[in-house]
Amino acid sequence: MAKYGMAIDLNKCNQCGACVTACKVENNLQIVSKESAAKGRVMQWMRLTNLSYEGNDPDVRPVTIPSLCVQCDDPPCTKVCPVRATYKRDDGIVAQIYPQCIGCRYCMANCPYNVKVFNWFKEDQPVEYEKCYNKDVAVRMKGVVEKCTFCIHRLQKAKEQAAAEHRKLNEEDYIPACAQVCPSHAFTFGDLDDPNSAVSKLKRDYRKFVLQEELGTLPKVFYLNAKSM
Amino acid sequence: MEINRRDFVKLIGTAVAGIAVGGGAAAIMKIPKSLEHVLFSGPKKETWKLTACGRCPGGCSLRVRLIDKFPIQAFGNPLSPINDGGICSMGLTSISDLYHPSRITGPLKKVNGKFVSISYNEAYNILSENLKNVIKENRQDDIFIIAQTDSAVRTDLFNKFSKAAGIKNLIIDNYEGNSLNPYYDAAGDAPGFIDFEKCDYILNFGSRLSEMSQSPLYFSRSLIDFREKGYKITAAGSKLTGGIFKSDEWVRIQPAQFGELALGIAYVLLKDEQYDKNAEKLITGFDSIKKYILDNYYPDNVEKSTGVPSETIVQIGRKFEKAKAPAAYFDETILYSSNGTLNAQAIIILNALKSFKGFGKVKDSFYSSIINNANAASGNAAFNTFKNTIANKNSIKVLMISGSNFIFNNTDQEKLKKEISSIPFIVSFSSFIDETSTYANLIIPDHNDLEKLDLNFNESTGKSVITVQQPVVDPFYKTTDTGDVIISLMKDLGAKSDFPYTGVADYVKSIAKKLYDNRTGTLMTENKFTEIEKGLRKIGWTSDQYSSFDDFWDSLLEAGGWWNPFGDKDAFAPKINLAGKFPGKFETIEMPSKNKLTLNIFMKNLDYRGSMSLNPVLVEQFGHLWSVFYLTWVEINPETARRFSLDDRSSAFIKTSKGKFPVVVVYNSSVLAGNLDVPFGLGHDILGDKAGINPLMFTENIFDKVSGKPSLTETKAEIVSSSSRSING
Amino acid sequence: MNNSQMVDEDEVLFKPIYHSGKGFYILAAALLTVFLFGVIMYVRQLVYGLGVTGMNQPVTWGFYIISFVFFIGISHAGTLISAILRLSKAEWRRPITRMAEVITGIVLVIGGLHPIIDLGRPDRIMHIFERGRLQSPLLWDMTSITAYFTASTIYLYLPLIPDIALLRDRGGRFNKLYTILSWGYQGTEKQKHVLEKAISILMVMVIPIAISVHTVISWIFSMTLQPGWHSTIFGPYFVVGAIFSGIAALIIVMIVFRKAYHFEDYLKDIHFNYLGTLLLVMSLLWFYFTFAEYLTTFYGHEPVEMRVFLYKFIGGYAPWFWLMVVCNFLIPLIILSNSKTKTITGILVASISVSVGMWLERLIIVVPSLANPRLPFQTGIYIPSLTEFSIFAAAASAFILGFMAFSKVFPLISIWEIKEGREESVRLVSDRLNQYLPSKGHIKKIV
Repeated sequence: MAKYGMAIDLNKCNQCGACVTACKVENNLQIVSKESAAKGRVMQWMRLTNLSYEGNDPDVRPVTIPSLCVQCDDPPCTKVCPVRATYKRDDGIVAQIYPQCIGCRYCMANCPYNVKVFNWFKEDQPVEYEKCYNKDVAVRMKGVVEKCTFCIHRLQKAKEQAAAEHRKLNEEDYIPACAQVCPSHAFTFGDLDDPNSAVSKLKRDYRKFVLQEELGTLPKVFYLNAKSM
Repeated sequence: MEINRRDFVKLIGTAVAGIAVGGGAAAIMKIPKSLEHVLFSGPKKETWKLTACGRCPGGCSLRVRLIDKFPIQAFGNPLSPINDGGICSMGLTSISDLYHPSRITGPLKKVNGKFVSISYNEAYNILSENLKNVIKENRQDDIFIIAQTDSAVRTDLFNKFSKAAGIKNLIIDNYEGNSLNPYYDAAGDAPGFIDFEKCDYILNFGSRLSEMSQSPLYFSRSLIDFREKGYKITAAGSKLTGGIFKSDEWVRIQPAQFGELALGIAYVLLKDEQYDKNAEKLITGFDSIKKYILDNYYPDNVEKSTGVPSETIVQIGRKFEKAKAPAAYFDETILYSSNGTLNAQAIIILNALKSFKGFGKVKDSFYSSIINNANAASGNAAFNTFKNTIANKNSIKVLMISGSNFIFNNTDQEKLKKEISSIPFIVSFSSFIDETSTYANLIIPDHNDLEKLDLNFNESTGKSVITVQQPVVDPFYKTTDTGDVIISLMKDLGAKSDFPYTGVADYVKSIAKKLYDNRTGTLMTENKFTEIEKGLRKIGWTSDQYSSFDDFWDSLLEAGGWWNPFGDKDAFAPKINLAGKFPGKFETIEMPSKNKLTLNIFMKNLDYRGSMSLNPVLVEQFGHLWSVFYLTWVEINPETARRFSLDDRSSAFIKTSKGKFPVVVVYNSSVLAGNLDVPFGLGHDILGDKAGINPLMFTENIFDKVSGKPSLTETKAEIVSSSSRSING
Repeated sequence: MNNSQMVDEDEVLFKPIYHSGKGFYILAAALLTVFLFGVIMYVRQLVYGLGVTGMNQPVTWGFYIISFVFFIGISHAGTLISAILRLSKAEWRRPITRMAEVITGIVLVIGGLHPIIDLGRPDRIMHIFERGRLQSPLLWDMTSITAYFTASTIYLYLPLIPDIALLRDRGGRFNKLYTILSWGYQGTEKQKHVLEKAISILMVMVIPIAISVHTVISWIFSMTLQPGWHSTIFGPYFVVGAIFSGIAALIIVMIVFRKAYHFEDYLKDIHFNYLGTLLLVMSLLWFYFTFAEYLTTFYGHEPVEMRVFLYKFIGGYAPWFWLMVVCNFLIPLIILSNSKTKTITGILVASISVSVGMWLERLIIVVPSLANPRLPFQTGIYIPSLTEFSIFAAAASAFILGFMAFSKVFPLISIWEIKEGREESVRLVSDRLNQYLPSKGHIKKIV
């Protein structure tokens, strides 16, 4: 069984935000109104966030990371779910079953990475946009928690495709939208169980770091950054 | 979308309720309107089509996903040498622009201040009548065309039309033209690309190669490769943006002073006698220019006026002179300051001192052979001409606006608005009723990019690349390709016209025909070639077999484009003649300081003309980097902010001589002390008060004297806290 | 038998059941209005979604969870205090226990409903039973609250039986109800014995259950990784807080009904004096826990924890934090440690201040931790909307209404225990005293 992971090379990322938009349109995330946004209810599964600053005064630069669900190998969110609406799949992806979620938001409270989002409203969106929804992804109902799923629908499609063609799933068959669109190819996605995959090699890179390693959540999304850029 | 369980239950529920209440079959047959599209839509068949993105000069190849012939998603084409599978936010949301609820659905005529729907024929007749009347009186000079398009084909059409109809005042406002105009002025030629095979040092003057350039996606990758080879990039600028972010060194400087910095660096080269001796031949009046520089630009003097330490200038100078093929790069953004064009000229001189070794040109460029006037991109008048005409005589009879929202993009908007409302006839080809088209008497909306046929030429990769923008969907509304309107006008008005084609499609095909006849290069179906293959191709060997042009055309559409990976490149080393233009007088700029704050407006990445925030997804995500949504924000150095007792995420007002506007304070340690960094792009009227402020409404009337572009970075401002209520982050 | 002819020595305790003044109806109508408004706001929330509240992305829990913890805390008033007093054979408990138990019953229902109000999809509540995961602290919570509710209702009901029998014997309205509920209780020796046995079993049982309830509620928070929540002290801290707020609520209820129903003869200064002392003790205990909790945080000085700490101490929540310290510690300490101010009014003031303070404490536990998550990307601010306020008001008025309704059906003071006390207390106490006094000083038996 594969164990999917992702490496993000901060030395390549130039904060263009294509991953953010790609996630938004690929997963039919709601566009919230100005009022909701002012309350802090913007829905993003992927966002760019300023981690810190490096450098000295004349040349201070922000360290900005694309932040998505890190797909913990030991996820705190699944532990607390009262109805098993969020769970870890065998391939390591932490998924959410929207029709099962009761909306208690306990998983959000226990997510140390703050990457889960809640559907506070059914926002008014132009009906025209329903036409360009991604038909592979369910539109979430109000009152449930949602999260990044590594574009699990793409895995499903790739598996079906592979089965139809009587072959095994190849590594290049499945890639999440954010990783696919990155203009500077900062994302590397693949199977962490395969020691020869590109992502496994990067996991051994000296530049590798993960967010909040001390919590022992064993994130499968990790970053690469060489200081003194 | 299939009928999901909820909808099904709803449907059953409705049916049951129908029977219960009304009874009978009629009630069962009545299907709720909201479910119609779910029930009566096709078999959900997925297809993919290749097209080109038309939202920036890049010409990325797009893979559009269609379900039942309706496009729903767009991704990058992995075989494209420009974007290599990547795609930016603008390209990703090009689909939702197609479905934009505010799109104009058909030609509109203004009657008593209100727009009413009319037929295309009626609209066309009004337009041609108006033009005919003016031309009949031989007053072609009173017709102005302002076209903002990055499409070479359309630019060419506008040029051809204006020539045929005898219209002098054609203003083409596009990225490529604006960026290269200083080169054309100085040398009659312009570099095609940064030659990454040779170039070993890039000195970047404020341009955002990976954000807004001839091909942001190509530069995103190539600059990383460039640095991974160990070469350095020095970037000068007033704001650390994504583009500057990936440079090795950041020189903090006001954009208006780029020229002085460039000359300070030139001083080092001249003093060290380390410049390319060839330059003496390249630059007309070399000795006087050399003397002028050596007399005036001693690094200490430059430090005094620009604030850049003289050691830094000397260091950069040494790097530049040591490099074998350095490139001092600037683009359109340099024009947005009071010294704009002058700065560009100074940088051209700096490049000439090293014989432009970092740049190259495509040899036997197909592009230049098709669009025969090399200077086509620029049009033949500057926006300044329009502004002066309108302000002084105001004799303009007809104004044609295509793709440009110049009121939004200019400072001094109130004056412009007043002046253009006195023009008797304005026709706009805009898809939206925006700040400018609202003044039009007639609107003939253009197709969406996904509905039209076009060719994108791109040589920034060093290879000739053509991507085909093909209609992936039939036009949704009664819109008309502006190119077709122009061709019709050309035939009706242009007595001298010898344009043989009936429409854009025809014209584009004729270009493709030349490509077919030419037989160099290959379709964009492969992007990796062995050396042997390259050699074979160079001597004319080809594997492509087409039975006819139509066969080739179909293959071209299927492949999404054509490119010539086997072509050679030329060195770029033109003669520079700046007599009468240079040396000019640099405006002295007051440096931002602790107490004198400067409004430093920056363009967000990918947003060339402030049109990004017309798209609902992008307007929501405009400030995503700082989690400020739908609001204009100001990035400010925490130390500066604290002196004005402004908290992070608190709301404040920025005051300039033209008024004040609300902002959200965002701490950013990388902002220059004394700068108030405010993004440009929000504040469209079309969105009501939904999203932010256009800061250009509050800038002082400072312009580049040659191009007429407004300065973005020289307005003095104050900031005051408006209340202690903070805003969510 | 006509109830007007029957004159009991404890007639004043029966009076509220048969007579309601004008004020009662006005108050009931006002409270009902408030309650209905809350219901309307909840329906609105159901229709539009949780967006009508002030909760947002990092602060995903707000008023509802705060109220939940607060109300469940108050519920400890009751059963726990009454059980402990019964167990310790404190004679002064007799007029208090009933009210304490009623508080528990009503407040548990209100508090227990709050998590459901908080749900994004209350229509899927059955999922908890169909596919509940026992690993989730929410499930533990549900289990313990249900157990506590069952135990405490029975514990309320059992001592009520003799009183219901008294009411049944008086005739009048609700007679059928009384007949059914009294289970044919006649006050025979055997019945009395069985009843007392049942009560004493229950009171032992109810104490661990009550403690478990609030411990488990604290675990909802402390099982997470959130800074400011992940603490081992939370269990006892919450229990102490719960008893603290419970006593305060009990005192308020007692003083209000003493005034309204003229129970001055039953609820005497001594009761308030004892309860006031208890409140003071709990206040000191609360302060001890709070101090211990924050001192360890401060001394450890972990950046993540310190952000929450500073947010509470000098940041956005500082006014609320310091108000809490004043309400929960300074005011009760000053009022209750001084015999001059330790009057009924003083105790009332202290109790109200503690109630407010304990609500603030829940606020300060829930919101700042969520507003300052581990990764400082998204910090939040929480401004409750009208929905939350009106639902809180509705919950509060439901509590009062519940109490008022109860007082119209059952006596608020245990009549049979009072009677029993009158008849047997002195003998029992003197017996007990004689057991541990030296034989020389034996008290004379009165009866």
